[in-house]
Amino acid sequence: MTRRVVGRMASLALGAVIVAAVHGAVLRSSMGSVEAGQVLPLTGADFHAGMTVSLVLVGVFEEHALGEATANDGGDLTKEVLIPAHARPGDYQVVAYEPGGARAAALDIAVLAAGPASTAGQSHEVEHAEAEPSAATAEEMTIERSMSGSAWGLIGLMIGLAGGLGTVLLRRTPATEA
Amino acid sequence: MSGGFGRAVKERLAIHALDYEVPKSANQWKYMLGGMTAFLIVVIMLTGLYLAQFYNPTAEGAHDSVLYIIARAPLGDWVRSLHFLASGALVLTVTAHLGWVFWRRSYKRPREITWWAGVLMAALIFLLVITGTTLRYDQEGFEALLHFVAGGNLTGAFGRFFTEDFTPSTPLLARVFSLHTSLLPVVLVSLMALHFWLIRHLGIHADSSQTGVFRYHLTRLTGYCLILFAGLGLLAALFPEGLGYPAVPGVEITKPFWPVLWVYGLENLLGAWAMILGPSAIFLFLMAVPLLDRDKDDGPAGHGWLGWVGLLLGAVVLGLWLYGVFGEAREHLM
Repeated sequence: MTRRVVGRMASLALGAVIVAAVHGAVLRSSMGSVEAGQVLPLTGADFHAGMTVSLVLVGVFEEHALGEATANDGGDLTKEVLIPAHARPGDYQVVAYEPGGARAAALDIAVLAAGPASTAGQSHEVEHAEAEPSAATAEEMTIERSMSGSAWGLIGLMIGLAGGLGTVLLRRTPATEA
Repeated sequence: MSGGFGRAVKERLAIHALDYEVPKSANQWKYMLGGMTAFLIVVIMLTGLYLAQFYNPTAEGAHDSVLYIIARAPLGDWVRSLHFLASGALVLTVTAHLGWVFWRRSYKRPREITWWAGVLMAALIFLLVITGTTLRYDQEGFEALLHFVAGGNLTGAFGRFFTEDFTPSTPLLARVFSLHTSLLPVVLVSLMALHFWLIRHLGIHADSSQTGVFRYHLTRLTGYCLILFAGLGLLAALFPEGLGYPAVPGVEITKPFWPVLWVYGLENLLGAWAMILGPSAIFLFLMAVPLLDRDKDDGPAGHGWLGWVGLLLGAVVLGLWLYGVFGEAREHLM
């Protein structure tokens, strides 16, 4: 009997540990995509009660602070954030960061090109490339290609080894086999 | 000690199985074009696996992810350029290999299936090249994707896979990416396995009056492949591949990747149907070659009329390619 009770308590404790491990805050939106310059409604659940999180729009090349939101006693939060009009169209995440900087929750969102009203005077400039032309072009972009010294060294080593070994092998095996 | 260790490794890896007889004349570079093609396929697969870790196959994220590969991913710019250059080199080696095998008439009995597997692989490589060009998702890539859609619409139910109507659950770019990175490579590798099996058991079609061992042939082939890798790696470092601006829909202003320019030239003459009819005509001719060449003699240069047809087709493709390179850019779909 005692063994059974202890066994059940151990199972419950293990279950609680597993639930705690997989338990996490979630961030949701009724929209899967949003135009740059428009408002994105967000809801959150299972955050620590009363916690204030920083919301950041994180893309491949750029990040935009979207403001803060505070969870209620039930751990839920609601917030409408403005997507910057100059945000480059693409796939992003809205990430909720805890005060210590840890990621609490994230939401995938596609940012679409802004409509004419919100793009006036704006250009989608990327850190590593120049601004996009307004009309279609067959030209190539000018991209700032940054390669570290160690990367160049590794590439040089691979090329040198391949070329050297290849030459040795060809010299050791003439086309007219003895 | 090292000799003993070497012997032990060779024994356990059954290296002696590579010591089967092959014609000594097969040690010339012309007979190694197929091996170099296989090597390039391996290089392209490895570089492609790396690039796939950073690529985002969505309309919103594709162009940015390519930009990320070029500007930020470790070695990304070089790996992408190597992938691009190796695919161009692959088209050259597979074309030269097909041409040499055709000239040697190595497709004759009992090597018909070896030839058919090779022709199917060449067609798959062509498909891999054109699916690959769409993934950059700049103006050129976007227009290549539009050609998939147009080709799919022209061929009705057969080409439905290449249209947005196929399924609302997955965008076309994601399906083309999946085709480029999974389905086509799996079929290609399966055909390579069959091709190698048949070559191993039917032998290399070369002057066999003198024979050597395959290990010698393989060592020499490895030498060629490593020098090819070094050359492509150097070119990738010196001339990194570019990227166009994000696509603007509704226009057609770019020319495709150079291996496809002969189809582009044909489209200039015949319109959108040319992109289906041109490659299909070449493919059907090559598949029919072993059936059309009925001469019992299997020596080179005995093709008769078939050789002239092959030569004529080659000249037409070259002419169309030059027209595609130097001719004006035209709209075919708009």
